[in-house]
Amino acid sequence: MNLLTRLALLAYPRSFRREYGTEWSRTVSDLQVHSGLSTARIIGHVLADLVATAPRMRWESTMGTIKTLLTIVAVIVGAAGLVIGSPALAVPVMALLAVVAIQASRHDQPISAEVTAWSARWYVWLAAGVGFFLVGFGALFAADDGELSSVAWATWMLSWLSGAIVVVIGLGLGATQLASHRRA
Amino acid sequence: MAKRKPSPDDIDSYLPLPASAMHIIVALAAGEKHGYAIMRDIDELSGGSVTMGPGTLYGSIKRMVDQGLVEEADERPDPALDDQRRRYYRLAPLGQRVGAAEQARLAALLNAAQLRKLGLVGLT
Repeated sequence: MNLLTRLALLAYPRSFRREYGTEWSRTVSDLQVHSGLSTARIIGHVLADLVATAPRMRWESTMGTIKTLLTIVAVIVGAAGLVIGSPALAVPVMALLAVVAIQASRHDQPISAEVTAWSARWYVWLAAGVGFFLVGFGALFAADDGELSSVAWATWMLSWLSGAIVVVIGLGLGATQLASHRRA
Repeated sequence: MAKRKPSPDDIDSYLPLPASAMHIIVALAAGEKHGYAIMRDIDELSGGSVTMGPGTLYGSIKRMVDQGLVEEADERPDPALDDQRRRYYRLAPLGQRVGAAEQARLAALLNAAQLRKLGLVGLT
């Protein structure tokens, strides 16, 4: 059980482990010693809670990095647009900035014990996927006489690939959400 | 509608509180408690219908400490459990004010439900 607890704790971000890891482990140990529940039930309870909370905390802790990264990419693409002289590159810049703005406004929402919270936001993934496709379109518009530069080609390739992945995740979460509504 | 960023100058900006945060505030309204005692209190107060896991508990506490709703007290053993030192938490003055505001909001909602005879729908 101690090994399981230590492994489960690794699912949480380092900052959380450093600040609350000892208390988290002690509470699991308290459950084991004082709650009167069977070990199997405690493991089930802790794992269900972990699935509901750890991804959210991981997401929150990486949001700062992602926001910085997206901002840098937006600035680089914007600067490239200025150098190339193509106003079409304003589209991917706007799309990236929109993704940054959406995530910045959403990432500090409270922790919820709802396991369905992730699938409830399927449309955000779809919107992010569309954003990536727009970035790809922007790169295509930047083509000079039908010739894509290596930067534009890499931008198009990466954004459409990312867009496809994110849209598939969004559709999967949407299907999960629909299934949970039907069960209810 | 997007929720406003909470500000201590505007208590309403914290509302509505997430259910987990309100449960923790109610548990701490009776005095300082450590994590497991908060969890047990919530379980008892809700008649077993709300069982908060350790991730939800400490995730909420972390956020509430960051927002200034909850403060860390000292570390000391709980004589009722064992001799291990535990970190205790207490309500901050801001947490008391926000808890009172959320209580008033929920009371108004319950009042409206009673006026509309919500509990009687389907029983008559």
